[in-house]
Amino acid sequence: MRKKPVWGFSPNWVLARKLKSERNDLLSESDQSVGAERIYDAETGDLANFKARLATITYLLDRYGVLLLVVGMATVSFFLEPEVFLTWRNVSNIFRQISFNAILALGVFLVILTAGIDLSVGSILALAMMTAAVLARDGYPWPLIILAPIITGGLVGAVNGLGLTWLRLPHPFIMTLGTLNIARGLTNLISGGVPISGLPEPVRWLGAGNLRLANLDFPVSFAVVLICYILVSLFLTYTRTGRHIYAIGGNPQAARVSGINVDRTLVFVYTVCGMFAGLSGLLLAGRTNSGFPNAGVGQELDAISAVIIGGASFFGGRGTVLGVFAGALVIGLMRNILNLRNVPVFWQQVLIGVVIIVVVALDVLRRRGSSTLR
Amino acid sequence: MADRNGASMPEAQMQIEGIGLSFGGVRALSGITFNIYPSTIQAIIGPNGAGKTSMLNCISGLYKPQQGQIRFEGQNLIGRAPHEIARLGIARSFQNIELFRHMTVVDNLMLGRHVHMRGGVLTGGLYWGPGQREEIAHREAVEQVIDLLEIQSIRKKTVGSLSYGLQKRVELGRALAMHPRLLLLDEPMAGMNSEEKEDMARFILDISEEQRTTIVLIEHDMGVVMDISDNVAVLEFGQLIAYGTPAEVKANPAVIAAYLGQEHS
Ligand SMILES: Nc1ncnc2c1ncn2[C@@H]1O[C@H](COP(=O)(O)OP(=O)(O)OP(=O)(O)O)[C@@H](O)[C@H]1O
Ligand SMILES: [Mg+2]
Repeated sequence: MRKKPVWGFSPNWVLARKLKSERNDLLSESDQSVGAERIYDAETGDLANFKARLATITYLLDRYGVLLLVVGMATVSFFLEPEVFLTWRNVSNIFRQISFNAILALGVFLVILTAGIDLSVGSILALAMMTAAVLARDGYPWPLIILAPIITGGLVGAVNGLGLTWLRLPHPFIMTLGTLNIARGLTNLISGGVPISGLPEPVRWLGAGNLRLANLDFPVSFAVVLICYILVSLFLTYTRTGRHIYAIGGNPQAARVSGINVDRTLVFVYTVCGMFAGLSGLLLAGRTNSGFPNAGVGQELDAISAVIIGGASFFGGRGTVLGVFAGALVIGLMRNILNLRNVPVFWQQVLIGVVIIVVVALDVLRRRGSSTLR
Repeated sequence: MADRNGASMPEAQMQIEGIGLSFGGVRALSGITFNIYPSTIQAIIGPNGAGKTSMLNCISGLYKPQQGQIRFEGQNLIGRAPHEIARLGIARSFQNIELFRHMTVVDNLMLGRHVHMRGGVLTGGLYWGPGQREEIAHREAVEQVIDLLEIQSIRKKTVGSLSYGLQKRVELGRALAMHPRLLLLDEPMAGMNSEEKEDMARFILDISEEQRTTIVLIEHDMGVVMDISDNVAVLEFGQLIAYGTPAEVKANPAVIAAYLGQEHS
């Protein structure tokens, strides 16, 4: 029935194309001469040189800017606290401390890539943590106690995704604001609003245990972080769905007409985000050997901060796993050095706020610069 | 079934029947009925706000008309999601360029190939192992489109950094990379100078001739429309006021009154 288009290319046609491509080279030159270039033609050669150098710097900043921030902060920290900062005990402490925010941020990153937002991850974390604690209290076997929080998180995430796509709520902010409250309420309902302590050994090992690597204790929770980050990085680069996540954030309309099932991908992304929040709750339960009802209050904001500091665009379609990792490290390092220097926790909050604004403002300035220079 | 060396009556590739669409009280389309024939260039013309873009949006599933039917190669399109319609072999470009601005030209075109990749979420989408041969084939298809549209020199550039004219061309490329059997183009030459328009017209003719792709073209430049289209549908205030060959349409008094008489910038 269907008529197949002839997508083979005849040789003489290819030859004709080659001839035409000469004209194409002219076209690309004339294209560049429009706009910025023309201004620079009239100026001195030095300025053109400066422009080229600026372009290289912007490119490097674009790729490695956050890492630079990490190195810079580590250096400053080292000079402020030379005795303590670089001890393995302190470094592994930082790793352990950032673990649960890093995993939360990883899920939120996927959501932000689609130009969405998930405010519910802090509450999901608490619900997952409490689920584990309640199951442990009631004597369920440990494999279930490890799986249940992740599944719980996935379920709440799926609800987020379905609400967004089926109910066509105007913005994920609203749906996830709803589940932020629902999940927090459920946490209190299943626990009676009080902390529950006592988790089985394997869960505590995940959250607080160490792997012995070359005479150093390496936190298990940080190993979990590394595994998750590597998996997500591979997933985003090498799978169809991974590419679709970037595409949807880049332009949902173009994604739709390119044959991408936007709704299904969104449900998937919010579900995965919920699962990471659940995993994060599991790690925190293991670390504290308990579940407490107001765990993770406001934690979604730290996760979002890590993503944004890491260079992902709040408007979707742009960002890297490495950047998010660096973003989580920046927050962790800042907390660490401020703690070591005995700076009150309230000042930490102020400083994190300043860093977010400065980092994003620099990003905006840089982008404005590079778009006029092209 | 129409065949180029067979039956004399060509069978329509797409049948549009009685399409009606309104937004609240605004009637954007009413009773639109016409056929689109295989391997032809079908122009849709009409004054601003006539409903041309709305018609394309109904075909590609972005709008759901309240009345009427659209059939493509025998399959009903109404009620299908845009991505399903894309997978049936219908690609399109937009009046306001819709591209993945943070990605390179090649990556934009590669996304067009995803409709032909096997597997869904997490299955078979991997680029390594057995998927690698498939990946190479898709890369080749993309390179063919790049050659066709003469955009070799910008293939690795980020789309957001390109000029308007080149972005229009890349958007055509994204649609073309899907190897569609029906290609919907919404004002592909808008805002271009005459040389760029000439290039674009040449590409459209090449796609039509070499690939036998059916093309639906919305365009305000009457010179281009009359030169390259096989059939013209004329819309005014959401109604189809004329349909025929360029010569027939040009001679139609209703069309002259509605459209050709007035100047369009
Ligand atoms: N999403 C929408 N919501 C409300 N009204 C709409 C919508 N889309 C189109 N319309 C209305 O439908 C009518 C037809 O619009 P459409 O964009 O299809 O015109 P057009 O022929 O493409 O015009 P142009 O040449 O300016 O592109 C207009 O009155 C427009 O205001
Ligand atoms: Mg229009």
